[in-house]
Amino acid sequence: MTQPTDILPDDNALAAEYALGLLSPDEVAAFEGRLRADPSLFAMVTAWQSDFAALAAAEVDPVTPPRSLQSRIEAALFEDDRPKTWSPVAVWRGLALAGFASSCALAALLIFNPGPPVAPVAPAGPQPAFVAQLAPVTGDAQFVAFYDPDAATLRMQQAAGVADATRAQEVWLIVGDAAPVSLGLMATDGTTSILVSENLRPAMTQAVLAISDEPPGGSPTGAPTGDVLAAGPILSL
Amino acid sequence: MMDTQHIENLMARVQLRDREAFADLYSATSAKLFGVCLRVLKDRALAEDVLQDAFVKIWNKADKYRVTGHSPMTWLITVARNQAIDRLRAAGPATSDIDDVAPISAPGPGPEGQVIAADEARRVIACLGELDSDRAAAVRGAYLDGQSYADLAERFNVPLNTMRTWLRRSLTNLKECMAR
Repeated sequence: MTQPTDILPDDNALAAEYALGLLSPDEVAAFEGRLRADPSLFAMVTAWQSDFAALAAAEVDPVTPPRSLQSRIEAALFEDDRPKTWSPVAVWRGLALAGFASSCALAALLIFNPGPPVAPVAPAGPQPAFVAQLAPVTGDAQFVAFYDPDAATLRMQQAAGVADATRAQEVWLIVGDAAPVSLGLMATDGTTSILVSENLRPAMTQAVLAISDEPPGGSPTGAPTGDVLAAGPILSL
Repeated sequence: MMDTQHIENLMARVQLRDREAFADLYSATSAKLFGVCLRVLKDRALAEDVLQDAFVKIWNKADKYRVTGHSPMTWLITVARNQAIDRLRAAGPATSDIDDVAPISAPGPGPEGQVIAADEARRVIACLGELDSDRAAAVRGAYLDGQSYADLAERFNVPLNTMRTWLRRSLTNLKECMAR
């Protein structure tokens, strides 16, 4: 254990100046060096802090902060606390609104886009009969999906955000309350084309698509393990 | 509202990441801490920002506060006040949290460190009363209003070095009085 350094006659005043925030950056650095090694100096500082805080407790009038501040603080602290593993039920619940919003966005796209609707973003090939817009859940990535039931092919593209090149993005199909079923990984660039297996085809028209962040090669467990990046319901065109 | 045992209990629960206790702690102390920030910053929007940062720090550091030996209220006021000072001196380096500069063998709370005794406030105020009124005003200006030596020198119309000598002597006298 370090020996306490000699207490200089001025140390009490110096400890007070430190507690008050009156020292220059150099003085602070030198003082903190001593503080770490010297319990009696540290005790001087905390004694001053305690005296000054008592003064504030007695002499500073309370002022009620605006009502909104508490929720701002709680949002800043707790907002990102999403569970790492997610249940399809939770995703469904979260999508009740998002689904509505994305339907509106799609409708707007179809109504207000001049020229052939969807075609500018649709991959070449037969017109898809079902679409999904996957809105951001964690981060800012967005995806669009087109499902062609005749070819049983799902085509997907990232529409916004940048994929993390060191991670995989896995596509999941969620039907009702059932566990998510993996449809495969997003290609690293361009359009991802997925041939949907026969047993899943009937569900494609009434399900949710979701993308999760996974280690390279995809989820090691067969269930999503990372954050849900984006999700959205499959809608009939 | 500021019942010491109540605040102590809430802090103990906040240390265990109890969000409900954190909300109760906010209700019990935010007006006092906002008053402290506002007194230093004289600007509501800035003070709101700083109070937010202070409560984020309070949540994140709740498990460390015992290292300081402070009573909860001393610790809360010190966190809020230092956060406000850092904002006021935005160009300067941030104030270290006292737990970050504690020696390994920090004393820990003594029995007298458990509460801000009403006694302590009375004693500080009485001893400030023994100083010349200018000097007591300078000490209050430095802590409550966050005035720097440059601010104080201007306010009392003396050279900066004189101001420093003056304040240091006042602080020494104050400590001697409180030790009596």
